[in-house]
Amino acid sequence: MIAVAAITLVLALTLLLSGFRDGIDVETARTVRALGGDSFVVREGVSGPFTTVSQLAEDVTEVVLSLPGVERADPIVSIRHAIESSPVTDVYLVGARPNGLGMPAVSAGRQPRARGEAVLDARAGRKVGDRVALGGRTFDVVGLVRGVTVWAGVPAMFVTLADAQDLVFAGARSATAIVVSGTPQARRVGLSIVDADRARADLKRPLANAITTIDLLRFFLWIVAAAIVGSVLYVSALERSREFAVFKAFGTDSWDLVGTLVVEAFVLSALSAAAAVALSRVLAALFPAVISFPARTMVLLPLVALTVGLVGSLAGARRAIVVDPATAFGGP
Amino acid sequence: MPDLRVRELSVEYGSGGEVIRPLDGFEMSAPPGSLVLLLGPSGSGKTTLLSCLAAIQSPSAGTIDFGDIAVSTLAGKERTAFRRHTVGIVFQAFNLVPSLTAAENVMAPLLAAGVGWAGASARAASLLERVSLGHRATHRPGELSGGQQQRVAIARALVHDPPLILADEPTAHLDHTQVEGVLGLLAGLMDGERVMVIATHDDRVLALGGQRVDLGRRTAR
Ligand SMILES: Nc1ncnc2c1ncn2[C@@H]1O[C@H](COP(=O)(O)OP(=O)(O)O)[C@@H](O)[C@H]1O
Ligand SMILES: [Mg+2]
Repeated sequence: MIAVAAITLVLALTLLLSGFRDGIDVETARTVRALGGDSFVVREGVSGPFTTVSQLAEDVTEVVLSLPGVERADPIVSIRHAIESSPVTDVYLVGARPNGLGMPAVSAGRQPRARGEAVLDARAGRKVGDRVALGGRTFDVVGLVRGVTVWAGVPAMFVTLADAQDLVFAGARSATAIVVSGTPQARRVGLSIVDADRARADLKRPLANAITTIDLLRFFLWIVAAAIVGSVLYVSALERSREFAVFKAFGTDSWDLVGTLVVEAFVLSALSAAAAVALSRVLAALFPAVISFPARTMVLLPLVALTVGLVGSLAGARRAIVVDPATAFGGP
Repeated sequence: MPDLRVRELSVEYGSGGEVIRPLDGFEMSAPPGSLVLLLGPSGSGKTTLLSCLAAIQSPSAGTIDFGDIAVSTLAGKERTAFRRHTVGIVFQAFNLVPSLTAAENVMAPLLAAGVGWAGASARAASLLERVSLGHRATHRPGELSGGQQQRVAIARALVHDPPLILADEPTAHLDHTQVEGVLGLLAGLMDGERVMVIATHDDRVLALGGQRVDLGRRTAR
């Protein structure tokens, strides 16, 4: 049935856009969690550990470690970079101490231990044993991580702190942030403490305009989906005017017709919603970005589909009530 | 003994100040077991009369009685029941539901009247047999010729074994090879006390015999 296909498609697209938007939050949270800390220490006046490169001395780590409430602290150097390949693969480069905070658990291979070794997110499309060029150096891929991406699918790349210091600070023993486990209970002049919430907001901020746009689009797409569901049902009711006229001419009660229509709309919407959920899951695999379907969406979609389906069927029901059975006598 | 009596029947259509009166003081009667052919050119009021006889349209004046039923004054549930059980209508345009099979089309009025699926299905099968389309029961209207569609429509009109059958130009959309089959079928419906009214301006239908009522002459101006 063409109506089911059309409704399914628009509902699936709505789900996907919604899932893409929710995926940004999921991706951000996942990546911040992968670094392993509870908070970050950056230079005073810097919004967070991810979006501004500002230099801290690596020794600040010792100062942070001495603060009450801090269980562990390790320096990282992070910056946006790119693997030289064709096409160029953008990466989010993080230099961290082996086994230190800032170095995530690998899903294959092992963590980098020496210079010239790297771990990549699987999204970069590289395998353990591959060699990649970045910033005029080459790195051997010794391990892979999964789900550590930023900005809707840019893979993270982890190297030793020393390599990152060479790439970013010309070898100076500096860091862009200190990852802390525990929450520092005291402050130090010149340093700010960024909790996980603010760290996530910081990581997401470059997408702020995109997110606002997607939020708007998503809002309108929900409305469009609702309008399409409603109008498909309405048009199919219009098309069936003659059918209604014939049934009334045969002595079918108008209210029986209405009942049938409502049941039909209900079944149609429910089927489409179910098909849309399945289709969106299949399609989600084609997208590089994280597509996430929180329970909220999964409850909202069938509710919207059913509500709009019923409202759309009311238009048809009106048709069924007002149609003059005499029109059944007319020509084709 | 249901007979059909039409007295002083007038129907007015008011469209933008100008009043059209296709039926004006129309009189007709048909005894039980008779056939009436309504003749007249297009626009002479044949369809309007059938619509009144079927309790679909209400006349502006006059009465229609079928046996002891005052058709022209029926309203509400009685009117619905009359349409459901007393009349069978065959339309010019067949009016089968395109998405349903031949059998489902015949079953539809039964299901709508609350007959169970099994009963409706058995009745539809026997009626399709009667119109020689038993082998086409699972076909949709789009896969049937015009003549076959009209035969399905006749089977549908017969589901409640109605004592009054109305047919509006049943052959108008059929080519000559199909007309014979449909006419033979209509002739076969004349049994017992059933009253049948066929509106037509197709001369081939005259072969069915019966009482001729020419609407064209009455309303000629
Ligand atoms: N719903 C309507 N509104 C206004 N005029 C109508 C309507 N239905 C039929 N008429 C007019 O009534 C006349 C008779 O129509 P109809 O009963 O369809 O004749 P026939 O079936 O003999 O062709 C025609 O002039 C037609 O234009
Ligand atoms: Mg007509």
